[in-house]
Amino acid sequence: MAVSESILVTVALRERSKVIAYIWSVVHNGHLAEDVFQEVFLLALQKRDSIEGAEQILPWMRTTARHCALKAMAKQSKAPALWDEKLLDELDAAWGEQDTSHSDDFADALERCLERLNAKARRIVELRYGECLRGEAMAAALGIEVRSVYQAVSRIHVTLRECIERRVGLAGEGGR
Amino acid sequence: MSSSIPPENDPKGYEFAELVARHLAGELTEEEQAVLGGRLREDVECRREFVKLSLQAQMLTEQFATRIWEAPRRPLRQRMWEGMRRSVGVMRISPYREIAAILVIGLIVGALMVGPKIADYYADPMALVVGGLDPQWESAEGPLNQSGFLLREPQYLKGGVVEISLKNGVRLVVQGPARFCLNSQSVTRLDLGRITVKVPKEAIGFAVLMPGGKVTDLGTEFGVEVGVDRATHMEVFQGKVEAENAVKQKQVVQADQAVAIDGGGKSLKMEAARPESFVRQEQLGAMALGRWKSYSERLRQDPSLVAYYTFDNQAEASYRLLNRAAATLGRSDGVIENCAWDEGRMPGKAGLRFNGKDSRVKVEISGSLPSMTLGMWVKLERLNEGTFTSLLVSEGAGRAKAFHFQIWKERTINASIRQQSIEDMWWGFYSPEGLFDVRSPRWQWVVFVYDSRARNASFYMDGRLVLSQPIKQFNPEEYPIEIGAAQIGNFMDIPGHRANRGMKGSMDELVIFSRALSEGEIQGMYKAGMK
Repeated sequence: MAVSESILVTVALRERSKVIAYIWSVVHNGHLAEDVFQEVFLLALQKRDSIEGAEQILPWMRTTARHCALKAMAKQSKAPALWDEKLLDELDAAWGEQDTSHSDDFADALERCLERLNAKARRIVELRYGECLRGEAMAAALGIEVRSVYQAVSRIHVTLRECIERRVGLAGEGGR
Repeated sequence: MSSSIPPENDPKGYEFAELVARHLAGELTEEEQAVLGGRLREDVECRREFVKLSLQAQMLTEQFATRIWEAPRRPLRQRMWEGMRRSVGVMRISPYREIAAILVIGLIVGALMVGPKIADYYADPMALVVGGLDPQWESAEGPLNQSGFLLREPQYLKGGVVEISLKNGVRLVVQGPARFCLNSQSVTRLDLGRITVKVPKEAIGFAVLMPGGKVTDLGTEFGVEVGVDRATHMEVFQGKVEAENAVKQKQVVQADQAVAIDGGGKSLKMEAARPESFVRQEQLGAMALGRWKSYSERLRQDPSLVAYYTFDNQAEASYRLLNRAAATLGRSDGVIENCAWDEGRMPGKAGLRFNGKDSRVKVEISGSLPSMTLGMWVKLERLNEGTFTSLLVSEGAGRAKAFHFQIWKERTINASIRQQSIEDMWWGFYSPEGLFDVRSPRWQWVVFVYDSRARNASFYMDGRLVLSQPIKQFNPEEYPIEIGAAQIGNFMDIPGHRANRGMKGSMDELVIFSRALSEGEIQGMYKAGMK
């Protein structure tokens, strides 16, 4: 049975981060990912008759997002060298493993883990994600080399990922 | 914990995380992309880690987009300058510090001026100011970049009203005094003042952050007011929204309902709506039209007006473009060919649409103009490949003192005066590049001022001076502009000029004065004429 518009809107808003993250990983441009998400959402509204049940919304959006993201890349003449169909299929399986995770739990854990970062690390994260600066601009703002910027970013990412896993794991065991 | 996996192959290691971070930033080389692709193909754990890091990056973006700033941030360029000074400071220990400092300064100043990363940041075409009533901004240089896009930095609108259009179709009407910042296409922060938000279906989920909470659109039009005590009043005009305070209490608010959130974000309660407090998009258009009509009536009496086309005579004479200047009334009316009457720059105001091929308005502007100001509202949908796009061009291109006003392919405005009839030589003036962006068509107020007495030529865009150039190559008093028979929006088709120079887009209001207007007068015309 087709999903109602209100269920579609509720699920799409709840799972928005996952879909945009998926698109971002394909188009490697955060702004473009937001544009593509809007196209996908509009298509979902128009074609909700073809979505059979609430649990199918996220897979449907991901499949459509893949098509729209590749189209957007082609339009921008950026060859998606990484992404052949087989690899996208394999990555889809990994994305599918996240379908049952709760975005709110993840966001809460991330917020708490961010608070535990030191001032310098928080500054780096703010420049990267608050102000959407890329490597060269971050390096200029921080007065360090580009290479050092990404080394620092990768360390922060790993630290945050480990912290989030601990917190979400604890929450799952009722220890939050 | 020890591991037998080499660090560079560890899916949970720093090297892999760095590859993913740089992939998401679009900064991997082809070789590095191949490395990342190989790792993803080979190892399911790498794919899982890739997904987790990608999701984390998006969550981080959202966290910072929805974070309350404790203090207004300083402009990016200032902060980069500080970073540069820190770099130079570190080099004081070097015996070659002077050379190193000069190199660093050169590199970073170069990056600040032309660096694509920074330019991209500022040029992110997210939001345009598309209308307003007497907006007064705090920053002297204004909130827009050269192409007219609103900078993604905290803004203080001291007074007046502005209408902002986001790329995703969201429309914001901000009433000053207001402190706000467009964090992203889907999040706007309001620290003080009133804002009205209209969200199309595809941008559902658009959020406004206030000191005490946030409002998330569920397909609607709503208004938010933040007072000096940081308390919020929010009400819904159409559809519904979800209001949330800082302690995560939520309330769905329907049309004609309102809620209040205290400045600390601890309470959330229903209260009476007061829609009269908010300026909505339609009201702004009607107010702008009324203001422009009143201004236009006064302007017509200016004795220095040579021609004034208001583009509002469709009902009187649909195939003619009437000149409304009192001093030349009944003369210089235009003949419309293949244009369509269309909506102008504000609701209720007409404009003419040009098809880019055979649309034109033929006019006759007689007389010799030692000084001149030419202004017009245009909305361009395309620039012609490899040639000019005509705005107002004299016919009989071989005539001395003929005048061309057009756009060159690099999005540069060009004004040229023919030197003599024998040789095809012109005195030409060119504005800086990049003033038009046809990917986001919008109404723009374009002005050229030719001042023979001051020996100066200037271009203005949306009331801002973009070029002021002393005339040194020739004596302008010997070259008064003689427009004569001319075409608006096209160029005569003569041998040797076969390339299509037709304008594709719309025009609404064109004015010619026989004097050089001051910067203040030009800004006044822009403010009176903007939506």
